[in-house]
Amino acid sequence: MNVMLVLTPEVFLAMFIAGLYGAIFGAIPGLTATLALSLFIPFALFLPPEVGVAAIISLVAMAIFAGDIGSVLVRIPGTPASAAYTEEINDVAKEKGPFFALGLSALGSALGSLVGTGLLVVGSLGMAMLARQFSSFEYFWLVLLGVTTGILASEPFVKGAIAFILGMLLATIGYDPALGYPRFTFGNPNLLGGINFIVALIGLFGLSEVFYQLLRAKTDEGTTSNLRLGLVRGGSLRTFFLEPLLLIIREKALFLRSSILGTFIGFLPGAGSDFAAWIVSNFARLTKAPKELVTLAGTSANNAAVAGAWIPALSLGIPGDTLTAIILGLFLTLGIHPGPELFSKNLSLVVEMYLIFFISSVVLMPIIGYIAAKVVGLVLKLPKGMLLSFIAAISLIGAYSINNNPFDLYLLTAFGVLGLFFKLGNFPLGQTVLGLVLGPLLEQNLMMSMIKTHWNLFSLFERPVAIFLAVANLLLVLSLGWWKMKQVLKVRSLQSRTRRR
Amino acid sequence: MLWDRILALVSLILGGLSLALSTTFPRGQGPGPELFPSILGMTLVMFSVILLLNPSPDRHEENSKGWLSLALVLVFFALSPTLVTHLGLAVAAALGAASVSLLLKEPLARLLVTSLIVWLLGQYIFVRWLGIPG
Repeated sequence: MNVMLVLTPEVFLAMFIAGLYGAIFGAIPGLTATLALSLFIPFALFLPPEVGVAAIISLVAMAIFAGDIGSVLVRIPGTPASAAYTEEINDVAKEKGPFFALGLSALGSALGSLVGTGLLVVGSLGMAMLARQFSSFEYFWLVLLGVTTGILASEPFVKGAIAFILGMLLATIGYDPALGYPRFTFGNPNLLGGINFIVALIGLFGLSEVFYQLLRAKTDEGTTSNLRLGLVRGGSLRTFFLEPLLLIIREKALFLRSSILGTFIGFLPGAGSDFAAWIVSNFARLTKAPKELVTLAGTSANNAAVAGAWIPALSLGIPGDTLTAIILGLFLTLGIHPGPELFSKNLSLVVEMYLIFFISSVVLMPIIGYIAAKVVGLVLKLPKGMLLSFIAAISLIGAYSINNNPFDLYLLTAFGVLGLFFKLGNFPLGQTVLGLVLGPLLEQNLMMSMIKTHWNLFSLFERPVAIFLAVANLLLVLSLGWWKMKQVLKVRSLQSRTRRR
Repeated sequence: MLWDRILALVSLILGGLSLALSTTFPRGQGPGPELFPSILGMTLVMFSVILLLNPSPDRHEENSKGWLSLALVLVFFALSPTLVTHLGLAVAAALGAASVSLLLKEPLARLLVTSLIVWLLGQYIFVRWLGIPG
């Protein structure tokens, strides 16, 4: 095992460049971490695995942190993960200066990510050891857990469910896993191998954004010009590093609680960093915590959740959120199969990932955070029209480069249109991606279990861990259903009270 | 409301189509390739009907000029497989960037700079360095 591989200049350079790229996308409202990652995948395919993985980890971590930059400057969160505490961080910036607010965000994110990384190491090793005992029966229930949470936790529920199921249905195109029969190919040989996940991803997130902005016919007069008004000028290392660090040390209990809870929420399939930030900052608000503590809780939780989402992804091959779903798709394309086997056959890569998480938390996040805080104004001066033209071109190049097949460009356009319609109808795009990844896993494990036992459905309840996971599924469906029902009743009673008045 | 209805109708058709087509798939000793698509088709139909009956208000603003721009860029992307085959990847991508810039009414200088950067990226990084045929 060559752990020193991670300390090569190429890996550091890739982490730095990808981190800055992620920070730019994270900072600009409307451009998300998912979009940044989708557009980066075609490049990552051609990089050596250790360099590509390093770049991706750094990109995601930085994009989630940089979502706070827009919140600090103009009260517009750069990513959904920053939306949970936008008002608070903006108020902190007004009261104590943008440099302090960005420092609090950078250090809170870095240390939150560090806690998440510690839990990632322990959690993924433990899960991988446990998962060695798993067969298709346990995996079926585990994937089903991901599917049920993915559907039930999505907002709005019905639209999320449609997006998720459509993703699963699209994944059935091509040879089926049981008999090898071609489904929904309509005689087109290009569809026999199924829809390429990365092409779908680039269309859904990259090209659809271009289509959407063209439809709105608004470019520069929107967000970017506003952001120019809020450039960060001045500010010292003391304001950026020392003062926020002292605050975190003073509030270590809140910080640790938020980071641990954030990691746990990130670990749950279908949750993710935005969900973690909402829950944790709401907890802080309930305790009447001051604004800077709500910010600290939210920003440390959303970055801890990034590491948390990697626990099921690495140890079981099941994505915790859209970002890890994309990364799992890339891993499979590169021939890396996450799951317990990854730990026995390719442990060096796993250790490398841990180290990269550690380096990106301790070194990169504070440094790039500081640089981003200084140069963000220059970056945001990039005209949006130019940026969209680049996105269109990179989408085309990226989709073609995967298989060198012109047919993929038709698929790209089709997914771009689907993504546009979903955006117009306010459907969660991430659910389609989760469906695309989880659908084949669910079908494969169900068919494998059923073929093994000649369609004895009771075989799914015969093994102890399988029973435990089946009960977990049931409990989850019941509790999420109850919670949703409570919400509906609450809204109805509020509506009827308003009508009476 | 309009978009919810359109999307509900599209997913209803897709769900129905998946249900209908999965009946034509061969069967083994037990359920086979038709099982999963038919379950998904049925669920999709169910949720589509729910959405069709309870649509939510539209939040997005579009304008008629935007639709024209979108139609033009869609024509470009529909032609892109032919363009890549005949003109090469770098030129096709540069044309793509130029058409989006043009439709977004970017100044000519920016349009040219963007297209040039895209062409250089496509030609020297993807085609020459990474060896993508195009």
